[in-house]
Amino acid sequence: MANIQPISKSLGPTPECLSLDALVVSLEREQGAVRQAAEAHLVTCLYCQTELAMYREFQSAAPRTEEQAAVRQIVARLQKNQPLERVPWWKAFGGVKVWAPASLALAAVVIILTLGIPGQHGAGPDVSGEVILRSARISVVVPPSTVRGSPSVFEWQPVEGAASYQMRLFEVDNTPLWSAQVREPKAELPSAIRARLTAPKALNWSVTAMNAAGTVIGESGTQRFSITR
Amino acid sequence: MQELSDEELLARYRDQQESLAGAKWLNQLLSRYHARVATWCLRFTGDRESAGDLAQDIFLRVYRNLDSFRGASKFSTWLYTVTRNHCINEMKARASRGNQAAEVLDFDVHDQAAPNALTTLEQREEIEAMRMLMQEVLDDTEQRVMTLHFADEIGLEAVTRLLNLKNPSGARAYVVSAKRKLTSALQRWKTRPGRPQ
Repeated sequence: MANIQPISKSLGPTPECLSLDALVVSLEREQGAVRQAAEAHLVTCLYCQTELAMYREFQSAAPRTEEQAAVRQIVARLQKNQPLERVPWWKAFGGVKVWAPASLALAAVVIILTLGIPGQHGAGPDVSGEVILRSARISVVVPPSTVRGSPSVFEWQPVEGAASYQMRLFEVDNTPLWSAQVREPKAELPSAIRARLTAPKALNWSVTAMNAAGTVIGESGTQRFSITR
Repeated sequence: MQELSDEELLARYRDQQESLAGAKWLNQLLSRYHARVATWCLRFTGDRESAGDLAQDIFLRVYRNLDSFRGASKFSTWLYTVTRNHCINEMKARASRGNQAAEVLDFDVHDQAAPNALTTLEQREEIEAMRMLMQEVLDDTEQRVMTLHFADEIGLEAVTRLLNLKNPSGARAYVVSAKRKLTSALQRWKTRPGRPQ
């Protein structure tokens, strides 16, 4: 029977491995201890050596002779279908700078016509007691930046006044994988999703706290963790 | 005139993204990577049509997720990560849909008589030993092939193309050779003086 588990574990990332982004930054932009630590790790880690070699190959890759015709055709197709959405026609006339004063004036006319001349209908709404909420930063508890195997639970520090939390899990390129709305400051990952998260893999997640009115009162920002075997 | 860096092009796009000028900067930036991403996709899939689809998906994904790129790393590193992950995930998805056979080469360097008898500590020790032995006994190409195939789970045909291996059986030959070397080295390691039997 095939037994590739130990060999995969031996070849996969270790808890000391940096993400590729961080490794490249450490090697190319940092000096001193940070760079030395990255270099020392690289000497002993086959996984990082390979990741870095593949990245450098990508950076310098020119199509090989046998690839050139196919690559030319793919590039022609990409140039024909640039991903940028079609710019609305009114922006074609010089962009917002030209039209901004005109659109502001038009908006003002519409407001005046809709509401009437200010003062005619008495005082405006009293906003003196309105509380302006500024969202707080949520500190995450688990998972840590590296976990062995797929994590079962995500946990964060509670936010005062939070009625619910929206937790989102997504790929490093921000493709959504799963989300949940919970009342407690933790979310359990369903086993079906856990089964899809096979190591080695890096993932992003974030959590947003909302009060009873649904207003966002806290955000964690994007958190990243790596699953190792 | 000096060519703008990727980061400068991106900054100009972000400054002017509401106008046609913004589109020009972004298209200029992404066009720099068309050939590289196309080449990479071609090496993953092995055929022009699906490589074109894959490359198209990648640029759409890059465009949609540009806001998440904060500039902590280089744009090219971020783009490469998106490309690499999308290629690997897409190839796995295709394999699981049955469109393409996913070949994982048999690799067992363990004692067949008692494959499950290792304690957790012994397993950990063996994994560490294996890491060390792979550094010691495998050559650079064998190391790359093994990592791409067994850690990243990239199929052998794609590994063959990515590493431009020209021998008749491509990456497969390197796995076989690595297995032979590692089996022998692991046996020596297990019977080395001072190790409890």
